Amino acid sequence: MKAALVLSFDSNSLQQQAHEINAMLNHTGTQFSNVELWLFYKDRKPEFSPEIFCPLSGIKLIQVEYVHLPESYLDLLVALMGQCPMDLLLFTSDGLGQELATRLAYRLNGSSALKVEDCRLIRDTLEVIKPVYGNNLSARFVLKSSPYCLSVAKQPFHPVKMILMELLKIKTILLNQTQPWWVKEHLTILDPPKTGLSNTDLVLVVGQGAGNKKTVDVLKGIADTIGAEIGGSRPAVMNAWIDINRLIGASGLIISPKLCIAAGVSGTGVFSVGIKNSRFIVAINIDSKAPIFQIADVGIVGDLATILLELEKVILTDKNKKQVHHIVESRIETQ
Amino acid sequence: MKIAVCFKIIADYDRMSEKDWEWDDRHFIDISFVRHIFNCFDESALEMTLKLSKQLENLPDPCELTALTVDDEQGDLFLKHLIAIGFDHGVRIQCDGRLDMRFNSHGISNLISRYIRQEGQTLVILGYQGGDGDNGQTGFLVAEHLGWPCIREVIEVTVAESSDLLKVKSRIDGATLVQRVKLPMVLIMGHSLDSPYLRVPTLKQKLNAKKKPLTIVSSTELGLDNDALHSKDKTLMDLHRHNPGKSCVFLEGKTAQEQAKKLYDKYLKQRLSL
Amino acid sequence: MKLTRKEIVDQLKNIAGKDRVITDEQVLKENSHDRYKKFETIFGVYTNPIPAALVKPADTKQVSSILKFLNKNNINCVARTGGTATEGGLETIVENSVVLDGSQMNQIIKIDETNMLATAQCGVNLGELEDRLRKQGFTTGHSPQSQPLANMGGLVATRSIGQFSTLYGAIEDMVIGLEAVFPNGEITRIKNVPRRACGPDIRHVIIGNEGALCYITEVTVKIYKYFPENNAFLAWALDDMKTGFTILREVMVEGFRPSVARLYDAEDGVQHSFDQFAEDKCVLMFMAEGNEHVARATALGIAEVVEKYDGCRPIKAKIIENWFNHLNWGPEKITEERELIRKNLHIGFTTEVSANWDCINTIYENALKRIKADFPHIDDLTMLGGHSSHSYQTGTNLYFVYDYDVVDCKPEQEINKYHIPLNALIVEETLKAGGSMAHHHGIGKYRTQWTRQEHGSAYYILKGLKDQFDPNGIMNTGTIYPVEPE
Repeated sequence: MKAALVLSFDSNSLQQQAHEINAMLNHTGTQFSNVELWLFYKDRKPEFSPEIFCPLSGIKLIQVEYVHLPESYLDLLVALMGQCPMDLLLFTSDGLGQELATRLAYRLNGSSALKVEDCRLIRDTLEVIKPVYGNNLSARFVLKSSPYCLSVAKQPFHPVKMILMELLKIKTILLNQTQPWWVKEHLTILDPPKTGLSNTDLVLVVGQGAGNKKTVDVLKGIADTIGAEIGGSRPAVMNAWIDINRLIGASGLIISPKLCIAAGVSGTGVFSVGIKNSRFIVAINIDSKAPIFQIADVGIVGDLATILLELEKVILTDKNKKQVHHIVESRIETQ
Repeated sequence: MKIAVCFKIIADYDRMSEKDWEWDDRHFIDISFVRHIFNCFDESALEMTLKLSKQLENLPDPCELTALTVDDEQGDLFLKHLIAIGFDHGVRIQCDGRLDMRFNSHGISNLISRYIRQEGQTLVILGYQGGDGDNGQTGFLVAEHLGWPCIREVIEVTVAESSDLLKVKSRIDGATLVQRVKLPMVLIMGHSLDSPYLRVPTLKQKLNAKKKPLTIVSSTELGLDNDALHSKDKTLMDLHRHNPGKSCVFLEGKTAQEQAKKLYDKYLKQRLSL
Repeated sequence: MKLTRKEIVDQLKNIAGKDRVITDEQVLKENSHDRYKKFETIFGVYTNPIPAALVKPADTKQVSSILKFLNKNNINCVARTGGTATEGGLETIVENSVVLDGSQMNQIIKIDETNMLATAQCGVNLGELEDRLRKQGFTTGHSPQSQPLANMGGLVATRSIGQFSTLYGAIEDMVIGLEAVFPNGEITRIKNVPRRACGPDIRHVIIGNEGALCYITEVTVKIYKYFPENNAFLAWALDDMKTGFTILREVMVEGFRPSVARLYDAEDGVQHSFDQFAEDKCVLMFMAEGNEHVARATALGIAEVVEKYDGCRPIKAKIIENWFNHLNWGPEKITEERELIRKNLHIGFTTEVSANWDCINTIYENALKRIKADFPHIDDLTMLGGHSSHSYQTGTNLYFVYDYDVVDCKPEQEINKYHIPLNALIVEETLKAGGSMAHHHGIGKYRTQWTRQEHGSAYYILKGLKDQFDPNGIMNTGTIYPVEPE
């Protein structure tokens, strides 16, 4: 079976996306006779690529002119599939990956699936596992026709390193690209620098139970003093309490800190998938029956603001003690 | 301008308890006893469209709004609600009840695009994902069927200088993309902070809506028989419910202070290198 | 000489300690109102005088000292615990009021399994008490929607009622003994005995006093064995409320005691998504519970009664069970409501009344008719309906529910344009037909103009209580008793 891994060199999340594709390659029991990396780029031809955890038989560097248009990528992919057909294409977990997987499969009469957590080849067909019913269940499907175009599931943050590409394997693809008729003009406004949310040890996630913006602002202060990054469930983000780039859950970030404190979050399926990889989960909720307690290691039933304010005090006292301790120790050293 | 918004009604999964997640031989889950709600992304799409049509009011080309769903009778109530709050047409495409359309985005998008082509709409708006299937593919496939361009993860749509030009804000990798685009077009709504909730109709609007008939179209009327709708893409083999396998330790305590102290001493201290 | 704001605060700090006296402006603003003014306060507008201080007493003795001080200096006191009141009872309408917040007196004192009693301080959250009891196989039987937030003191002070009242009764049927402090500092304890004939039942002076006579510091309620495994839900769709009331009456008169007996009209049913199961229909529902023999007999008996009536179509029990399990109002629902109000300028309120069987349907029909005819902003209404949720041998209650878009008016004008007039029309129609104007929220501050009419000649007794126990009139001025012109 021949497979291609489709990535965009200019993506902000290239190394994380490669990690997610690696994770899929790791899971899958399928042996590939041939795996190629298909790397899109815009201006500067890349020399490095993210590390892929399987031997690559070739690397195709594909120049794309209209990077903001999925239709441009699609045309290129269709052309490329004509030149070197593949049985399986793995796309990234983001919106672009989902769109390309779906539309390419349609154009090539293949099958597609998104948010794929696992896949394996069983005789001539491909089996995939993906979430259904609002992340409350997962389903196993058989995909019926190749090429199989899969967008992989999001994974906790674990970017792979960039490595120098083997020159001999590289082939550069330059194809004609037509200007889109429907875009009169476009403008890209870059996001502020990424939050440290994906890559931190301590996260405080706030939900609807926080009650109001004022309380959330207090919680942000607490997060600051205890050294936590703050995140929000969809309602907390929709209430404009927490910035949208801090949305946790199926349609936001998947986080895996050492410690996650979920405060006032009820724990819906689409939310829980965002934190369930955390190493330790503390849930605080006034409702002892809230589903969040099903995925928590430790739970406190009570008012989240009161408890977190107390926690802040305890942590600060301990910190100060330690600092005093340090000073005492250093004195001993100097004496 | 003729605009169609496609939406889906889903069971309120948050109201299902552990014991409710069981399925029959055909992998159907009984969700008939749970209240149904608009899929949240579709709800944003519907409300945003109402706001958009308000902007178009002053333009020479009046706006005609259609709310469209592929569903059985349970969709009617929601269509009436949408008519009450300002949609001109409520359309329900009815498939043969024996077909499992849950994971069949191809079939659904085929139906939708046939209806759109038939009615001459130039803008189709859908929510980003949702429903039992969690497929996340219908919008893309509608664009493919129609041969139209598509913008995903839309967060805001406003009218540009003429009614066939829209200013569309959407999310792409690490940035917000603002485009001025020509119709026809498929827009797929992402997280819209501006219009997360649908408005509520007044008593009067509800009364008036009751008089308006809904349009019910069968899949065969759109030229698709069961065979044509049958999924050629994928087959469901089985379902699985994750068991988190955790048993939460509840921290008791007379005061919040006591609970916080316990939490810190027993669990947090060792995990935080403070 | 009236004390200044600062003097009041200083003296309170002397009595209760400075940590227990809160003067943070935002906290005081939040404590100047309750859910009656939820619209304006969501938009950050606070029209009541801001209280001088919020005091959180540690124990009954402090409550006594504080009240003595307030009484001596003629300072208005507003009693508060969980803060879920809906009728303005918690509004601080007098300048320099002091809010006495018992939420830190929150110890469950005793659960007595032999005598089936639970004793709790006023600040114990009912949900917490109920969780504790259920772990031991018991229940209070008290389950108002506010259960996750409301505290014992407030629940007794407002004469609250829960969703299972038809079996377990309302709070006055549950309270066995009490401790309360009167404005002169007198601490009174009513002992826990099953029944006695030793003069009038003085518990009723305290239950439902809405902080206008005394401050409740401790409550003892009876407890019941808890058999959730025997719960049985039954429901039917029917055409009109009149038939529904008739059936409700028959169920009660036949002697059945379901824990839940509810009747929704079609309009009100929509907000509970009943239209998805019974479009344009009224919905009648029951829950039978308790010991398995009793629960089974109750369910069978009720079904027999209902099925005699034509046009009742059964609804799947699971639908009702699922709905019922999500009926309580926790903080998440309150936030969701706040955000909806803020984003869509859309809000809803209720007015709950009661009446005997012979006039309940008249009140239902007349009040709705009157609103449709006389309310000038009827076009802004998005919902107008009602339900009955607590039935008795002699009659039932009616919960009128109304939602509206707030159109062309400042946040602080909302209650005058919509809430007050709508509430008034319902109260007037109820009193006219012979019902009672407040079934379980209390009178608060917005129905006091009808208190005399409500009680008629018996107002003499009600007035006597105020004169006797709060002669200086410092206890929650403007609640239950109208503010008398000076």
